[in-house]
Order: sequence, then structure tokens, then C-alpha cells
Amino acid sequence: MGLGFWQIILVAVAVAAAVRYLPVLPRRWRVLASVAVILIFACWMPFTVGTFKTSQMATVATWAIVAIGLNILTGYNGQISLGHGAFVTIGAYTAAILTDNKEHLGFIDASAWPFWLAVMAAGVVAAAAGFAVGVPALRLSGPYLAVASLGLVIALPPVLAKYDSLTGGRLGIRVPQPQPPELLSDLINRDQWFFFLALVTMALMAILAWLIVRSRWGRAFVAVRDSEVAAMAVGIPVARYKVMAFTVSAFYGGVAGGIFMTTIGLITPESVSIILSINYFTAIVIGGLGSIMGSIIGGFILVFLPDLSTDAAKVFFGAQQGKQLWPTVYGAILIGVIILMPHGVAGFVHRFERFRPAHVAQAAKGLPGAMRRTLQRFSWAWDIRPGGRKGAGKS
Amino acid sequence: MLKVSEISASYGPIQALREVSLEVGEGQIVALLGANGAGKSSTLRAISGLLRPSSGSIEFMGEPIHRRPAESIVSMGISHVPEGRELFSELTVLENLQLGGYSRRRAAVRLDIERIFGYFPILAERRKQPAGSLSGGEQQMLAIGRGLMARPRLLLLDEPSLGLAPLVVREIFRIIQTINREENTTILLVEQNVGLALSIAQYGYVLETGNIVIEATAEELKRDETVRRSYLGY
Amino acid sequence: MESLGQITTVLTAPTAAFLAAQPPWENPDLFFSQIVAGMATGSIYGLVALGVVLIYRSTDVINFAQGEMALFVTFVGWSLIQADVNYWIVFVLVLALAGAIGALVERTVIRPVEGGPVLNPVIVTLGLFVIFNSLTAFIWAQGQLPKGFPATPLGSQLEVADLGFARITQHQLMVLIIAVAVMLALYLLFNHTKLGLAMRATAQNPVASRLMGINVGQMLMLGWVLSAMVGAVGGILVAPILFLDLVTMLRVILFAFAAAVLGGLDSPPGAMVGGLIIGVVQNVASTYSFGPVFFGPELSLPVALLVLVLILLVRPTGLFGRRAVRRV
Repeated sequence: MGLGFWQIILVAVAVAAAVRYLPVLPRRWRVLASVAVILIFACWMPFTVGTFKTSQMATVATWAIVAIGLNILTGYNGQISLGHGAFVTIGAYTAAILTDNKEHLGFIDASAWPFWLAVMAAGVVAAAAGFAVGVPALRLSGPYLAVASLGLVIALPPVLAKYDSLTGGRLGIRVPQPQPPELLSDLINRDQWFFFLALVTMALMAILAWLIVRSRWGRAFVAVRDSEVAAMAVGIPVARYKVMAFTVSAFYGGVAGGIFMTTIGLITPESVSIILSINYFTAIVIGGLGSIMGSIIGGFILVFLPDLSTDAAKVFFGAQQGKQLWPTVYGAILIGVIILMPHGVAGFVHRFERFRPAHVAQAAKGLPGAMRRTLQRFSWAWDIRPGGRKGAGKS
Repeated sequence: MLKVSEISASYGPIQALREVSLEVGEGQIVALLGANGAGKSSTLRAISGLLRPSSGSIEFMGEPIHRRPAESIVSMGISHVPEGRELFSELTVLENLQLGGYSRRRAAVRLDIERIFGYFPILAERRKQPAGSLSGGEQQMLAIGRGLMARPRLLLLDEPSLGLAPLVVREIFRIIQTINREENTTILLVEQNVGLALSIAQYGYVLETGNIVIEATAEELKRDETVRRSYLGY
Repeated sequence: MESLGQITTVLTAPTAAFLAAQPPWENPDLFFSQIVAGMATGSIYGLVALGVVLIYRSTDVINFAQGEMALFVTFVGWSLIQADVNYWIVFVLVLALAGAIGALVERTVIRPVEGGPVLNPVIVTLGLFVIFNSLTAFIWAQGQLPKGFPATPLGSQLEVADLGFARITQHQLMVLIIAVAVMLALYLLFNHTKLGLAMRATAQNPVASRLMGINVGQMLMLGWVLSAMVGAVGGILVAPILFLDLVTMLRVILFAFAAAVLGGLDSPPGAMVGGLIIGVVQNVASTYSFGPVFFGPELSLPVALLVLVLILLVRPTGLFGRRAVRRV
């Protein structure tokens, strides 16, 4: 089994950070190189850690897709949605209905659709739902929108349960799960295959998000978030972009739902719980709003924080009490992180990037001579971003 | 009465005040002049405690006040009528005035409200109306009245003429002079309308990007070449 | 959510047996009873919603932990009741504890995030939700759940109060009376005391308030104290009806949020009105059929939420909310 799971993660992050920040490669290549490092580790990892961790990582990748989509809506466009779980559920049901072997509603036939097609269809249907939600959402903002979106995800399960001819009611829908293709079936098992499916999809969705954010759309989203009135004054069709943001982020949720359902093989009205839906939101804020790295961190938090909290609780309170008190530790960690890192983990990391020789010199003033001189000698290492005197407006 | 010594202050990375010093004597009207963004409002905010100076000191009646929280400075006798008035727009005129007297005892407050209505009769007519429904001039009167409710020794006025019609402004300035004369209230007046400010002030300071560049009596300022050209337009 | 039908049925007792009941004109007694009973339930939603609004008004923070904090102190009340402490003394003690917890929470974990990104307090209150829920589970779930909680000594759950045009339980009548009393007390506080005026001022304009000599931090803390106390009253009143369980307040808080939003998040009377509306709609929708459509108890939640969304579309800041206009 080789290295332990967390050791691998730590090494991956350390190597990627080194590639990103140390002045070894030319500046233009550093970001891409560090991403490549992460991807290499990600591809290697399923073969060294066990099945359970691999399937957990698949979930991380899947939830990262949701997080990226939600980030587009909330981080870039400023609309709060606590109910994104609804789009995930809708996507999951769509994919399930298309890939199960039963007939639905008379016109959806019994043959199973191929995986990729089903997932895309899941995204499209969810996007349509996102559009349907985004239009009335134009009227609402802030906490009103948050509560209304929460209402959406709360109201969905009873409706799904009631109309069981389409949705299989309380018991949901079971689907046959895709197997790894024959060429590779000796090399990788099903859990590893699911992980790679999720990873590839996440990578594609991340690239798509990167393109969107850097495009005219992305700038418009941010403009609307910062000031709707100013955006309108500049001629940006605010309503259109707000609905678009909802639609796009719902698409992401639907795609994730399709993958999620595939890896489990079952979807029920309760599969994506209300708590999970709220947690999507929590995860992106803690991970870091408006940042793809933050979304991925958010995915990690969603999957691993409960376990970490349990371990920590056992340390603090003893094995027996710890098992019961883990949510207390979980909540305390959430609160602690957000107080210490108001812009999320990604935001915190970005602040580190702003270290300047001047900052270091300022901090060094209070230190004894030898330490000060050492810090100054290595101040080239802190010079991460070039240019810009104070007040140049980088913040 | 008020002695500001070399205070520097900033908003995050932006330096607003650089070692500003000024003095206001008892019973005086002193003008603080300068263009937009020069740091005039920041000076008043430093005095009233809303902005913490990073260095320097402020003394009022011999007591240092630059480290005190804003809430406690009112009871020392300084009242700040902020830029943009900052009224409680959903509360009534009467409630705004009552809040002005928050730091004082209930009985005295009731009498003082009548006094304020004496200065600004129009407010008496509108006493039950929400402050947000008043016209610009009436709002400024209410803001000043609210500031007076604390019975201050020193009144800080930030741009009372902003956005008001000339007739209204003249009326307000007349009342400011009356208050100064009858109650012996010292006034530190921040104004962009230099001519008007110098017509009632005895002394003046000119700020430019956080520095005091000129200080002189009002008469001297009115005659000064630079002041005339930059601020008075002739 | 599985037992949502059960919960709604319990809430619409004692007439819950009459599902798909006779239309109002045939049985007006039932109709009015359902309305008044709905108002009683709605008053509880309104009280919890009031707690949410009190905090939102002064700090723009939605306290997602409102229900769980109330749950925690109500459980403490249960323990005191088990120790044979007099009901009214328990009432007072629970309220005092709630106030203390509210003050502590504001001072320690809310204060640090008040100035920063607007979504951060949401995370904090969600964290508090989890903490209070699990602490409650840890301390009291060892024993048997759900636990019973007594109604006030003045009105029992089991006996009927006959109002002439409607019949409800005595406890429901007490709920209405206590809710009115709380509203009255808050009205007097906010509109006829210096402190209340100062709190209102702080909610509107914290900077100007400081210039008046008001200690804004203390006012904010006081808002949390009042909010927690009001929520605790809601908890104490709902416990006899729904029995004390870990999920008791979860049902209530959902409807309470709906009520707060419906009434307008910065309007205390709106919160109570919103609660009444939701309570009545909930009762009526689960008891009556509308032509061929019968929602039934399972869909009472989506129906209530649908009503909320529809009203929000017409009035985006709630029925009585204001802050719609922003200066640019």
C-alpha cells in the first residue's frame, strides 16, 4: 500500500506549492506546472491507497464540480443559493431515468443511455431547472433568496416521493453501474474507474469554469455582483446575466448529480439531504469564494471534515464521548476557520502570496539581528508577484 | 480648548492625515478648509473618535481623548454633526432629537427640545414625521439640532452646506453664528464653501492631501493669493 | 422529514381525524377551530421568527442556530422540571439562561465576523447550529427520547377551551395569550423606553448612534439576548405539543424562517403576522380539499413554502419589510 493517504496529499501539495512559488521555472509556466503536479498525483493515488479512500476521492471530485458551479453563482455573481442540492438531485434523477432499464412516462424508453450522454442530459435538465428558478430569483436578493432557495431543496423530496410513477417514489431508482472498459479491466477496478470518470469530468468542468470566468461573461457576472446599478449604467443586461449564472451553476450541479448517482447506483429523494445542500454553500465559503482552488478545497472539506472532526473529538474527549461529540468539534472548526480566515482557505493562501520584501522588512524590525539579516537575505523568495507599489489597487 | 498635535491616520493602506496640528480656542469659530479628499472629514472623525490616529495626540480641555472610544467622547462635551448628516431616517424628528440627548438626563432633554425648536421652528411643525421625509435643508437643521441636544462645549460641523440651496445655506449659517454667540459654543467648521466659511470664522486652516498647508486668521486667508486663486476663484 | 405527516397531524390536533373534511359552510365550527388552532401554532412560529428578525434588524445576520439554541435551553428546562422545580421558576430560569447564551454567542463568535464578508456570519451560525444540536444530543439523548414537557399550569394540552365559535385546547389558548404578551412587552420596550430607542437607532445607523453616545456593541449584544429569550419562549410553548426530541425545533425553525421572510426580515410585527399566516395555511391545507385537489399532510410543507415564494415574488422584501431602496 505504500504511503498513507494524508501523506500523499501533503507531499502533493508541498510539491505543487514549491513548483508554484519557488523561482525555479519561468513565471509563465508555474501555475500550469503546479496543476500538472496535482493531476499526476491524483492519477497515481488510486493505485496506492485503498478502495474506500478512492471512492471518497471520487466523491471529492464530484462535489468539487458542484462547488465550482455554486462558486460561479455565489462567488462571482453574488447570488446566494442554499438549495443547490435540488439541482444535484434533479440531475441524478434525470441520469437515473435515462440509464435504468425501465420505461417512464410512456416516451422515455427502456434502453439505457450511455454514461456520458446521460450525464450531459442530467446537466441540461438541471440547467433548465436552474433557468426556471433563476427567473423568479431575479426578484429576490440576499437572505430572502437564501431562504427561498432553501425552501426549494426542502420541498423537493416530498414532491419526488409523491409522484412515484416517474421517480420510483420513496424507494427511488436503481441503475446498473457502468464497468471499466474491457481494455483496462485488468488494470483498474470499478472504484478506480469511477474516480477517473469523476476526475476527468471535474477537470473538464474546471477548465470550462476558468474559461467562463475569464470571458466577457465572467466579467459581467462580477460587475453585477459588485453593483447592479453600476452594471446597468454601463449597459450590462443584468437580468440576463443573473439568470445565466443560475443556469450555468445548475448545469454543474446536474452533471455532478449524474456522476454521483452513477457511483452509488441508486437515487432516492433523500440521497442529497438538506444538510448536504447547505453544506455545499458552507464548503465554498470556507474553501474560498470565487476561486477554483477554493472549490476543490471545499470538496475535500465536504468529504473529510466529518471524519477529521471525529478523530479530533476522540483526542479531546476520549473515544466514547468523542464519537458523540464530533459535530461539536465540526461546528467549532467551521467557526474557527472562518474567524481566522475570513476569505476562506484559498483567500488565506492568496494573502500569503502578497508577501513583499517590504512586509518582511517591517516584520523583521522587531527581531534580533541575526534573524533579521537572514530574513533579508532570503527576501528574494518572498518576491512572488512582481510590481505594484502600495496603493496600486491589488486588493 | 481643543489641541490636535501631529496626528496621522489612515484607512487601511491609504494615508488620510499626515501629522496634522490645529488648535481651537474657546468660543471661537474655526474653519477647516480644503478640496475633496483633503482629509477634512477625517480630521473631525479623529477628534470624535470614529477614526483612530496612528500617532499624535488630541487634547480637549486638557484631557487626552485620542484613545477614547467614540461613545464616550460625547459626554465630554464634543458633538459631531457628520458629513451627509447621518440622520436616523426612519425615526421621527422628535426621536432623532431625543437620541441627540441620549447621554444626558431625561428631564433636561425635554426642555432642550423646545430650545432647538426655537432655533428651527420648521422642525417643530414636522416633529412626528420620519426624518427621511424632510427636505435637504430641514434635514441639515435637524442634524445640527440633534448635535446641539448634547449641550456640547465644542460642535464639529462637517460640510453643513453640502447639497443645499444658497438661501437655505445662508439661513443655516446665520443660525450657526447665533448659536456660537448666545451659547458660547465653540465651533470647528469643515466646509468646501470657503467664502461662506470665512465669513463667520475667526481663524482657518487649509488642508491639502492630509497636510495643513496654511493657517491664519480669516481676514488674512481672505486676502491670501493662493487661497483666493485656488478656492475663491479670483 | 419522513414523519412530516405525523408532525402536521399532531399540530392540527384535535381535529386531525377529519382529513378531507366537510367544507367550511357545512361545518363552521370546525373551520373556525382550525383557523384559531392554526393561529396558535402560527404564534409559535411567529415567536421564533421574531427572534430571527430581532437579530437581523440590527446586524443583517440570519441566526440559523435560533431553533437549536432554543432547543438546548428547553432541555435544560426539562431537567429542572424533572427536579421538581416550579414551572414558572423554570420558565424564568430558562429565559435567563437563553439570554446569557445569546450574549455569550454575540460577544465571542459573532463580533469577530461582523465587519467582514457578509456571508461569514452565516457560516458561524450554521456552525453554532451543529454545536448546539450535538451538545443537546450528548447531554440528554442518553435517556429516552422523546421526552414530555408540561404545558403551563394555566392551560393543559388535553382539555378543551370552548371559545364559542371555535374549540381549541387550553394550551393553544395559553400560547396565543403568551404570544400577545410578548409582542406587547417588546412593543413597549422599543417604542416607549430610552433603551428601545437606542436599539432601534443602532439597527438603523450604527455610526450615528456612536456619535450620540450609544455603546453600539452593547446594543447588539442586547439584541441577541432578546432574540434568544423570545426563541426560548417558543421552545417552551412548543415542547408540550411536539414533545422534546432532537428534531423538534427543526420543523419549527423551517416554518419560522418562512414566517420571518414572509413578514419582512426587518419587521417584528411582520414576523408574527407571517407566522400566523403560515400556521393557518398549514392547518387549512392539510385539513380541507380544494375541489379535486387534496394536498394532505405530506405536502403541507411544500405548500407552505410555495405560498411563501409566491408572496415573495409579489413583495420581494416580505409583506412589511422595508430595506428595498438602496442609495447608490
